[in-house]
Amino acid sequence: MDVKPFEMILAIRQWQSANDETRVPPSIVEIYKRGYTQAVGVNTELREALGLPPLKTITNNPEQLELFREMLMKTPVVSANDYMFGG
Amino acid sequence: MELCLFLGCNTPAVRPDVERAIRATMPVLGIDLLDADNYVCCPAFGAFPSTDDGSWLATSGWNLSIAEEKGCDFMVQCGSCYSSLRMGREHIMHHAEKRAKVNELLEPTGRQVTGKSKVRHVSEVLYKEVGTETITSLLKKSLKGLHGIVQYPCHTLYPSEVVGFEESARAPKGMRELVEALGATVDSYSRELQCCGGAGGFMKSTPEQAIEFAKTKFDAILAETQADFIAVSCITCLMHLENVQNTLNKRVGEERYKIPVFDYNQLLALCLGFDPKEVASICNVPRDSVLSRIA
Repeated sequence: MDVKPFEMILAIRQWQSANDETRVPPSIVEIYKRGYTQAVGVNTELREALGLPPLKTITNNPEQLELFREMLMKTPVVSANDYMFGG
Repeated sequence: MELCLFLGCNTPAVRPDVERAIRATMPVLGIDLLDADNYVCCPAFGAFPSTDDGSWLATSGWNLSIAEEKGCDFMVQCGSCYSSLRMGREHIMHHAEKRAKVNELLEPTGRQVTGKSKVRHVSEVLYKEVGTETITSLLKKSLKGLHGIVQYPCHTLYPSEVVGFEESARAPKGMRELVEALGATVDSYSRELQCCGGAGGFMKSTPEQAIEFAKTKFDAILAETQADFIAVSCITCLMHLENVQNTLNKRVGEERYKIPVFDYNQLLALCLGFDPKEVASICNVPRDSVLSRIA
């Protein structure tokens, strides 16, 4: 047996998610919608004040975001719970 | 040396001064950073890795393909991003079936992944690629006279066979030597290797226990060290070790917990002479007590 504790915990979480839709993490909807769990790249004034360049985020690139969403829609959790990802 | 900077979600959105510190310091040390345009969430362990391998590895593959296109490795600061990407790469590299599935999903997006780009943590790049002697030789200011403690990011230690770069995950020394290279005295204490307590699953599902857990760490710091600051190299550690001090102060009814927390690259940037307003301006625990003593 070469079972690693970290992978065992992830396997339990995946089992929960696959068998109980209330266990599907809400953060995956955020990632599907904008690519990130946070509003990345929209704090432009603060970034400018710190001397940071604008970020080329997927949120601001509709074509890439659509490709990313289409890819995710073919994966088990998104296709099985597609009602969460509409709109 | 060129590395592709993977910023994750929290750093650019919540603590961009850390991003500024990384972008300012690494080129001075000979590390040129390339942007990872159109990257997405790593994905965080509490997101797709907690649902199924397909969505996790497809998202990892999307990100890894960006570094591969640039022909270099990823450099990551966030511990969770580092571990998720590194584990994702491990699966993609060593499981032909999984790699084929990921590439099938990526194909319509015009991307593909082989696993040729590695995932490196910024502290490993600083410690092993740049080296403490080079860092010390370039400093314009020093932390001499200040005592610090270090918080090792758990995700850079365990599981050590996948994410580790220290000789021993049970006795890491990289962060300590990096902070010492800036001139500070690093104090040891009994709970040095204890997690910050800010890990998503812990703090979100059992916040009371997570806060009490952090309290044991801070009580040990106060009892056993002369810490003027805490040095971290993970955005979660940075935000949690600040926020939890404020929470603890409200509970005890006094300002007992008030140790400033810095990302290592912020301390490095300050010692390289960069403006604190640009590289260390966002904090929830005041930093003046440290900033005024960096000379």
